[in-house]
Amino acid sequence: MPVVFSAAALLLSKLTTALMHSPVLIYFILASVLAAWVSDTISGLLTLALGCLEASFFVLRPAQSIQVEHAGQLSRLGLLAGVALLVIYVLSRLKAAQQEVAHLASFPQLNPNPIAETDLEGKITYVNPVMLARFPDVVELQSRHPLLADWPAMVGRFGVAGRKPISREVRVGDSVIFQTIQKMPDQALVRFYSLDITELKQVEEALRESEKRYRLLFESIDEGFCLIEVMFDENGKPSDWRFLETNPAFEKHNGLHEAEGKTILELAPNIEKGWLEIYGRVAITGEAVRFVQRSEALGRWFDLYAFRVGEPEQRRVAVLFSNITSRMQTEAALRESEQRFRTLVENVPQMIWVAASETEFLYFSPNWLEYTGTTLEENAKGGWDAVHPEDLPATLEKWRVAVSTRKIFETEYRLRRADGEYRWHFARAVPTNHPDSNRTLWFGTTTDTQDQKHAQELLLRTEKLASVGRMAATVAHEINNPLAVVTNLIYIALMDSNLPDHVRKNLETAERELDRVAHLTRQTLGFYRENTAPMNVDIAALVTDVLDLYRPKLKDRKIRVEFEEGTADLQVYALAGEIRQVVSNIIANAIDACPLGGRVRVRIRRVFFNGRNSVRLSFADTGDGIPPENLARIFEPFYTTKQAVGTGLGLWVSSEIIQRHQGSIRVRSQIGRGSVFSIYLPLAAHPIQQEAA
Amino acid sequence: MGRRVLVVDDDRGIVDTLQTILTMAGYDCATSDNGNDALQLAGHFDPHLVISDVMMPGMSGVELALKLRNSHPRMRIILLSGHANTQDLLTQAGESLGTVLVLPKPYPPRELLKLVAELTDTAHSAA
Repeated sequence: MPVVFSAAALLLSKLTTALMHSPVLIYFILASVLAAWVSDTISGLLTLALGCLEASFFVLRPAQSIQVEHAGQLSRLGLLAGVALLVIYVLSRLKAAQQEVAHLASFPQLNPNPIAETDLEGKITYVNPVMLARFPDVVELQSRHPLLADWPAMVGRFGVAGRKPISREVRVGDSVIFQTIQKMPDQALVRFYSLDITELKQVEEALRESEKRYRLLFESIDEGFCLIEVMFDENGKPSDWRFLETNPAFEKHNGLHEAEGKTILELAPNIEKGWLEIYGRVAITGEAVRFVQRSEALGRWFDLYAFRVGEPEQRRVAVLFSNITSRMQTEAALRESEQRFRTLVENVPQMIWVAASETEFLYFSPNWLEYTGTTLEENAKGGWDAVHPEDLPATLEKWRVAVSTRKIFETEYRLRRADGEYRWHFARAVPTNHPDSNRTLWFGTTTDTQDQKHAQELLLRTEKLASVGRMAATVAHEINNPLAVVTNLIYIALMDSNLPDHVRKNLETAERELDRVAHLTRQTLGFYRENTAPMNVDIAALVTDVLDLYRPKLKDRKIRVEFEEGTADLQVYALAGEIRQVVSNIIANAIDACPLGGRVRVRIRRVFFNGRNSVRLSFADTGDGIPPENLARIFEPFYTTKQAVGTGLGLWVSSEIIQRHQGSIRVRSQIGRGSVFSIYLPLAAHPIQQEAA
Repeated sequence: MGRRVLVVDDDRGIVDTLQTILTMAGYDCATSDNGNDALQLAGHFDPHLVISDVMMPGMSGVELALKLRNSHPRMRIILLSGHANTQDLLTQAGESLGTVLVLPKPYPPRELLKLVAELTDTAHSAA
């Protein structure tokens, strides 16, 4: 090659001066350039060299041409050499072309994809082995084969000099075939490469489906959804965020209109800082968060799930959220309702309890725990320990039957208070079905009926007494008046100094008998009251009243009274007249028992008696005492030791009265030292405050 | 001058027998069978002591006692009652009747005379 270049340079240096003014040079140069462009560089140079020689021999004068001896021979030699060179060149090119063709031909043969060739009419001239294996019928069907669908039109698209491959997809059965069709250069054949892209297509389809499904989900979900880009300030703190994408439900949940592309500060300038912190953290750490939060700026409660999407540096967060304001309001209302219910349960006087089964108790109101002095744990099996042992078997049986038949449970029992006192209670429980848990819960109440029961008994007594009392009043009046008249008449008769002794004796006996009758009526009929209703009675005041009545008699017999009132303001719920009657009888007895100048000690004490808070009144005299054999009988009717004046009814009536008031009357006595009568009465459950004087 | 005692009771037998007993004992005795007459009579007769029943038609003994307490503060009064609740009636009347003495009926005449003597004495020695 350097030889060619140096030769060309030598020729050029010789010729340039001679050909400077001749247009021939231009032609040669143009020819060279043309050759180089059509063929290649070598051809261009050769053309230039040949041109130089031609110019040297045929155009220029010998003097100006290259000075070579035997120029004619040399030029022929040169011409020969040039032709030889050309021939060599053409041969080498041919060989290269052949190699290329062989290369191209061998390639389809080994290609793992089906390849076929047709002529320009569409007649198949070649199929590679893969094609034959994959589509054995292509040779038989020729252009009717789906692979060659629309073949003439396809080929027509190449035009005359078309080299650019064409791509298309055809369906063969269930398969999708991607074809690259190429018109082979300088050949009247068309080669098409086939690629089975069925799987690819399926994947693509699946992807598209998935995308569609996602879209559909995105568009149709009830929850709001948005994709945001969190923005940070120069200090790396989250400062705002932009809504990149929002779904249709978005606005319904948060009320932000046409948010896409806008930032939250544009839409809601007052948005709380807390939101930025949360989304900023998600964007930075990539940790998904689920949370419930209220936005004052938007005036709503939200339930949200936020997670990072895309690359960390994109700072993108997807947020799935729901407006739960109404749910929160419902919950708040529910809480409030629950609170109201609890307040109610904890403040009604009834004790309230809830049971899930015969032996599973879920709840006892605080007043039950306070009343029984137990804990919730101790009551888990029903708290039956507090029920009076006598009432327990019947109560448990009723409860068992009620639970097994799912009927209302009702019973009465005595319940032990923390201080040990048993009080009557009415218990009632109603079964309620809970559809949510599909179980039956028993809602029970236990009500203190002690006072009510007491009052009822007293009322019953009161009614009886009222009728008996009215009769007694009439009888007393009707008896006492004639008695008084007869007493007076006997006295008048006795005043006659001329009375024979036996008449006087008879009259004196009559007088004594009359006195007994008078005493009897006073003791039995005397307690009549105009208004007989039980009420709170101040015991000390009542005793004081009765003692006042007896003051003349006490003075007469020089009996000293020691009265210890004890705790102030002890009240019993009772018929005042009856209690007065009892106190009166006991004091009268004490006075009768005392010798002249004796002493009666009256004491009032607050005591705990028979499981109840009670009052004890004791009356101690300094009489002779009652012999043990009599002591057992003194409360029997018509038993008396005071033969002359006793009716035998006083203590009997008294003990009857005290029993009616759920109290007790007792006596202790010591011969020669005196007797002590004690009256126990339950204290009123609701004492009335005495007004300060 | 004898001591004057006024006896008030709607029961004729009581009035008569008490009058006899008191007269025999030397008292000057007037009687009435109802509270209104007794009130008038007390004006003219000016008794040292009034002995009255409690349950009477019209004016009751308690009422009579309260009125006499106002018009004749120094007059002594005994109420004879067939009922044990007279003390309560007096308490309900809301007045401290002080010298009013309540006695159960029947009351032994001997004892009654002792009280009458005592009360008529103090009535006039105080006057």
